[in-house]
Amino acid sequence: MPDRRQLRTWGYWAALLVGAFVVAYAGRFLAYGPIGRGLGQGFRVSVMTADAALAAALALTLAVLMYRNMDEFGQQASRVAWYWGCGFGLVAALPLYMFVVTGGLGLVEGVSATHLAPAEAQARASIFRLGFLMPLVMQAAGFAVVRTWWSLSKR
Amino acid sequence: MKNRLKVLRAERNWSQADLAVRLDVSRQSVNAIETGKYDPSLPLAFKIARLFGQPIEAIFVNGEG
Repeated sequence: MPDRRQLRTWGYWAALLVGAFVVAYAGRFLAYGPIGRGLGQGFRVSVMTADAALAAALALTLAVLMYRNMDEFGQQASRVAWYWGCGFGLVAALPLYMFVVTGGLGLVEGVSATHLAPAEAQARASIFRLGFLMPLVMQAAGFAVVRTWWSLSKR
Repeated sequence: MKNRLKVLRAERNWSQADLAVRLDVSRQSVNAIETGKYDPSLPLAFKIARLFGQPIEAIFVNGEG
């Protein structure tokens, strides 16, 4: 028989999955459904951005609840995994990043970007750079903020 | 850190799950502490000591020095 903590964990995961589905579906329905179609790009951008913010709030809330629900062993495991796992994961992605932005995909058999005009290829490379670097920068910023807060709170 | 948790648990005929419930931690936590793979925090160490009615030093053996 699972204990209360395990049942709460399952409950939080269920809430996360159901919540994510509802938020994603509601946002897309509003933005691209009968209402959104007639209201233009500005409306769709606003709705999808607000939808993403709502999803982030839901994820953060459940992350806090899940973390508090863990015992100290689980919390320590999460901290270690996030610190070392994410750290090494990001660093390990750097060679892949360099491979893509220097045109490596064009050298891979079956993947050819030669049909793209130079401007289009450059634009795609820029988008890839942004998509790769943004999470990196945001994670580093988040780490710096929390680390500073933690040090200051211990004075 | 070496400890006598397994011995104390066995004296009372408790399973790891029984001890986990009494300490309000997971069974994995109990197993990790017993095998010396994880050192409990001070609050948890005090909780363990209170549960078994013994001082912390009688349960956990510091290998240093």
